[in-house]
Amino acid sequence: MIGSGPIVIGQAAEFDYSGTQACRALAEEGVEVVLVNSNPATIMTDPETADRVYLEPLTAASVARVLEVERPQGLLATLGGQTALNLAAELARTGVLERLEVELLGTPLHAIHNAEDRERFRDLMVRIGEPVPESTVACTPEEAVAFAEAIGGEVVIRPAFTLGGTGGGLASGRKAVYEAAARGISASPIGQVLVERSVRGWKEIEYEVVRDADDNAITVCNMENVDPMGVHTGDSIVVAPSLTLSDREHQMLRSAALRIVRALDVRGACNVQFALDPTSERYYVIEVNPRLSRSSALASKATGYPIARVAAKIALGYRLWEIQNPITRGTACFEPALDYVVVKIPRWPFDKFADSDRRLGTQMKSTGEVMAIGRTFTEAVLKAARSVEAGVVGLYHPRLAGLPDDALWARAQTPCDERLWAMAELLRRGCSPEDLSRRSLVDPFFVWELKRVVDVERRLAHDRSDEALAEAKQVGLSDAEVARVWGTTEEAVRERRRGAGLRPTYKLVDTCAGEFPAATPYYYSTYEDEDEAPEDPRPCAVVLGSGPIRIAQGIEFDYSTVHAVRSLREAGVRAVVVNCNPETVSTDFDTSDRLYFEPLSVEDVLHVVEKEKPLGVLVQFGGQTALNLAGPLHRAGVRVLGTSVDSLDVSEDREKFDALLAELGIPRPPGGAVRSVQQARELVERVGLPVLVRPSYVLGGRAMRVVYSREELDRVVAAALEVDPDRPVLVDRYLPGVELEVDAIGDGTNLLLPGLMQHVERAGVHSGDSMTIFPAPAQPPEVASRVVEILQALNRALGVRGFLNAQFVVHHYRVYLLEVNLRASRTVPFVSKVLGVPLVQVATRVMLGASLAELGFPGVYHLPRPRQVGVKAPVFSSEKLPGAEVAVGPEMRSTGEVIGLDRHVAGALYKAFVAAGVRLPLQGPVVLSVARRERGEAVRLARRAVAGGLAVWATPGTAEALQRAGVPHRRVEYEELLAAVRGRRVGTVVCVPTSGYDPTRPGFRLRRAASEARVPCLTSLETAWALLDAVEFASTQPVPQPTAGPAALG
Amino acid sequence: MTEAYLALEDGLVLRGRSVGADGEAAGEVVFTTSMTGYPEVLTDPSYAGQIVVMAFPMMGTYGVDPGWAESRRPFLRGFVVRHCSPYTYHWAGRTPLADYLRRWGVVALEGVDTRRLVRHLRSGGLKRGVLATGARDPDQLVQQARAVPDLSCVDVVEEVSPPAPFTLPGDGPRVAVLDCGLKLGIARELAARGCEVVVVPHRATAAEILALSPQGVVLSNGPGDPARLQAAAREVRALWGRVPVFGVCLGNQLLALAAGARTFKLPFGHRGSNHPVLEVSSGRVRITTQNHGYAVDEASLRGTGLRVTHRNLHDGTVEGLEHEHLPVFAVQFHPEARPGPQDSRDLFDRFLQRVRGAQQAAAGAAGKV
Repeated sequence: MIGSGPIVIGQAAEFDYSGTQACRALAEEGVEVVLVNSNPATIMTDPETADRVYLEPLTAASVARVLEVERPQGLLATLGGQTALNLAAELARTGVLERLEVELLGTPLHAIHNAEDRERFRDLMVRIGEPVPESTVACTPEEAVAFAEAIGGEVVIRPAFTLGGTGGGLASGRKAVYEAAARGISASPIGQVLVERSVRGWKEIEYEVVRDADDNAITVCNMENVDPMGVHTGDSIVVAPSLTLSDREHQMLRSAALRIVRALDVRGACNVQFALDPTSERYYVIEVNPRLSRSSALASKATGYPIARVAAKIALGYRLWEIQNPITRGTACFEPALDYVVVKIPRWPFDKFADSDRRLGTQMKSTGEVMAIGRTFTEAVLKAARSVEAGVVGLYHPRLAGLPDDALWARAQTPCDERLWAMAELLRRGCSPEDLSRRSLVDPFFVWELKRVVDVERRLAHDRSDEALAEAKQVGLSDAEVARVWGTTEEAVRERRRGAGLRPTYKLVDTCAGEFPAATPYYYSTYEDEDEAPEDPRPCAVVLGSGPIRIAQGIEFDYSTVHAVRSLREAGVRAVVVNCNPETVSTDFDTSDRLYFEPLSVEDVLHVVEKEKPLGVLVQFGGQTALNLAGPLHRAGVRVLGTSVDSLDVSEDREKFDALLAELGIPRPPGGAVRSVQQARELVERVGLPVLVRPSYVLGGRAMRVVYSREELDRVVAAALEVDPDRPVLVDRYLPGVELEVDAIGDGTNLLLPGLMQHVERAGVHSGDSMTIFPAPAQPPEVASRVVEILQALNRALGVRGFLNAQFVVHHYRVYLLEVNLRASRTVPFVSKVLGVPLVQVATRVMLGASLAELGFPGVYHLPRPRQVGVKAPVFSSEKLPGAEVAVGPEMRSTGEVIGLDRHVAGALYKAFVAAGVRLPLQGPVVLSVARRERGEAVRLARRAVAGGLAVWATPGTAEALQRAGVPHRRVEYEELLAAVRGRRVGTVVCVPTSGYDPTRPGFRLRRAASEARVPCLTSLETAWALLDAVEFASTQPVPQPTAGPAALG
Repeated sequence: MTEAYLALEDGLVLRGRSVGADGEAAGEVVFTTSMTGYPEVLTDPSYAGQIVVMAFPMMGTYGVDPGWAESRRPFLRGFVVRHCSPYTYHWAGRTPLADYLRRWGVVALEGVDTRRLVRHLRSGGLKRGVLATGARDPDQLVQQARAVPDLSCVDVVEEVSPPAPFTLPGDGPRVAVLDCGLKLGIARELAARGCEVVVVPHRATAAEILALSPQGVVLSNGPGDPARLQAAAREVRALWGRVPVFGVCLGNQLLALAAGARTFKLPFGHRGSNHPVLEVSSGRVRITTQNHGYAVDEASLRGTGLRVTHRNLHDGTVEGLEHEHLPVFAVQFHPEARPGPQDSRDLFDRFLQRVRGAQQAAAGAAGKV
């Protein structure tokens, strides 16, 4: 089985969910499962998931080596996204599968080609009489323009064989079509784009189909995009089932979906997308995905139907009706009936990429999504809106509320991430729903539903009766929204509501709308009569998940959530999960003892706590989302397990934390909190430049910058103050040096140390964007012992019970503490995988009350150094976010990560680079374009590259430095260089920015061009040094090794 | 907003809002899990005598178009939904659901916990109930519910069957349809295949039907307890061997009764658009629309000349029958769909093949003479 590799935009946690479920389904049948995946932050790469796990790069060469070692009978590639499918196609095309006698399981290759090759797909559709929009395949921009002129009007351009429509777009007019086609052609691995008639504004409807080799086929569900055609379905708000389709329309499309899947000969799962004319029964087939997809993950969670499990069994040759539906214990050969409405809202990274274009189109931009379940559309959409953590608690957006009408209309008319809230605000201002629908192209039904919410808000403003409150809760408004309308606090509304006896009831997701008894404990809340969740007297603990996948809070936290659940169950404690992310393993129906598919808001979590009466709540696994709930839950009288809420608060509050460090004698880079630009200037007088500037209380270093000059300081501090005017901005001296990190577990007395991680890049690059080596190469003994001393001091002083993640910088042999997180960090799965020790399970036991000594880790306990070295490399999705800065810095920008595992650091680096998408050996010269302040280092780097036999090109400034130092190189002007980069004629670009974020500078354009042309672009010299290590290692071919099995605990 | 109540014979009373006609309605309370197709459900004559609970909570979201009707008017007694959309913007469904309900005098209730109701009926069996609008005494409504006659004691087919025959013209074979509560979808499927469709009332005798010289006979779906239709069953028996016969839903049960087999009442029926049915001969499954409260007792088929062709994958009940050597067959589900999947429309083709086969055989026989 091939996994999907790192999380990128267009391919997220959904494949961990489907892959893990499929592995279990295969194991049930006694199949020996060998898994290849390069993403360490996944449950699927746990030793328990498969018989043997290879954390190896997902390249054809690397997978072929695994196949040679393992000689499996079959290859299952339909559960690892487009990555796995493309690999399987390549392994088949190059004859590897045939040579090694490996059968491709599930949907056959010809079906995959017929589905994915636009021209073959089109021909097939024409043959079976299914309508497709007029289109052509273009290999040059000129061909695209000619076609567009022939049909007239707007066209949509999609590159062949890409993830999430990378490089696609809508265009009308000669120039726009030419440019979009050129972009698409370079994004497509086969240099092809499909140009077709645009059906923007039509309804976009999807069907999830499952078919077996015997031609039994069902549709699991249909889904309707609230955003009509024109917005990528991954970026659309989606509702399931469809709400505006008559039965005739639904059955027409359902039958078409089945005909298509049969004609393709899919054996497993398939997603079919249609465009439906909103004023007739005319439709077009848009595309199919002959594999598990993001949509199928959503359909699974929306219906309870385990699509991945069923697809895996079909791949083994089972007929649909021979497979059991684990929910009802009946057959899996039926179509789920829903008695609720599901709404999905995507989560976009524009908080991180403020400079990027926020408009939505055929290029997917979201990193994750949330799902909400309600009995009505309004209830579901309001829950989803408060799940997405966009600074809103419903359909009211405080910032948009301050904008003039025309700014709101701009957002409503041009699809963008804020459209839903802009529409609600316009309705609040009295705009007519008909007008809004006409101008936004959103179906009037949905606009009227939003109007219904706004009307309830309006009535509520004048009527504070219990009846009005009950109506508000039934329509789906949160206590916080009611509080806004009433001008009071959420707590006051909560009290008032409890007084009125208004509490939610929980209903079961059962695949059958109540027609049969169901065994699985998967619940959602609503305000109705009957609560179906039975009382369970056994002790339980609530684990808070991490919500939507976003930059800085990725799949790593779902990994930790799932392990916490496992640990609770092993300890005999019922595990209750609250989460709202449909893509994850933690929300699979059989991961926990009870799943509440609910928003991670104080109100919704409190309801679950009131219902379950747990021993306590675990907040250390769900990232900052869960940790931020600790304080409010604690104040509402809920017990938080593990480190006390007071200590969590100290660790997050700059002033309190500084006081503690002073008391403990722990040095940190000098600095402080400022509330104005003037204060920042004064501080810099004292501590000196450069400084690191960041707002307090933010995730992943949002709006964080290294500032080298006084002029820059004013601008950056002003911008940081704007992020949250109520909170100070932190300004710290930036100390260059080696950055070390550790994921320790403490119980206040004992301390478990898994070893140190070392960041390849110097401090100043966000730890999430750094390459990380674990275990770190040997440190001077005084450094290592000082780190342990500091950790132990913190452990005791903070009374840690659970995780203690800390980052240090070693500056002139002195250890400074940079940051402390009292929760499971992003690196926990990486460290656990290298060690073969599931750290989360130890931490969970400690949170439940065990001491580390009782668990077998007395005193300051160092886990034995692993036999292998792991390197974690970040993976970016900047090519999908036009206009976004590519360079790494203190603000995190990567969407995912890969691991390289080897006996040697160089080998691990090699695998990590290859897994992250760098082709080794390099396919051309090394291009150097380095900021003035780092040119001395650049000269040394160039010398080493030349000594290693690599050609070096340099941009004028850098070339001058090389010239002076006598390093052989070729000087290239920017324009020539950009052409070479776009033509992919260079091996790697090393481009260290002077300041970054300035799209007018040539360096910015160079980085963008490299990213868009998928040429490796390194923006820190340390990374480039590491790459040279890997290049040298590339001459020796590494042999894949399965990872170590689960180590015994204590 | 007018309040409204649903009271069941076992004492459960739910209060909500009226979204249909004012008044009272009494009948057997059933539920369907079809997520789309409420206009078709409302006009399906098989719901005569019943109060229908929609399991899917959002109804009326695409309005109603008279063209979606499955009969000349709604025959169900009452309609219960969680939420009724007050507006419609569908290009075809231009009538808001509540307006449609009022226009046809259907008493309807919204704003109740329909999932609770479904679970209640599923676990406790179907109940008699009363739906009433306006201020009411719940206890009295429960008493009324207890007085509602059982569906097996009511001749509901009488109510839905047409008073006189009528014809849909066509150039192809003439097919007689015995209308016990016919969904127009069946007639439309036949007409779409070129048939001349002659619809006859359910009291038509075999002789009257054969006098029309049909080349095939279709036994329609319909409401109520099939066991009350023994007279019709006897007439059906007289058609065998004379003309190909195809039964749908109640037609399947009529066929079984005609052969001397029995039917029995299911605990809460099969109503929805997602029932998997296995075709015994091919091992293939089709997803079907179902709407029936009774099923054919398989054990009673022994020696009747009928064999089971289809089975429900959920509970194994009989979903299709055919005669061992005559062109006589039937299915318990709805091949005409409306609402629901179109997976089984091929059954109409199969019927027409038999009709043509019988014609050729007759022509061959005539040639020999």
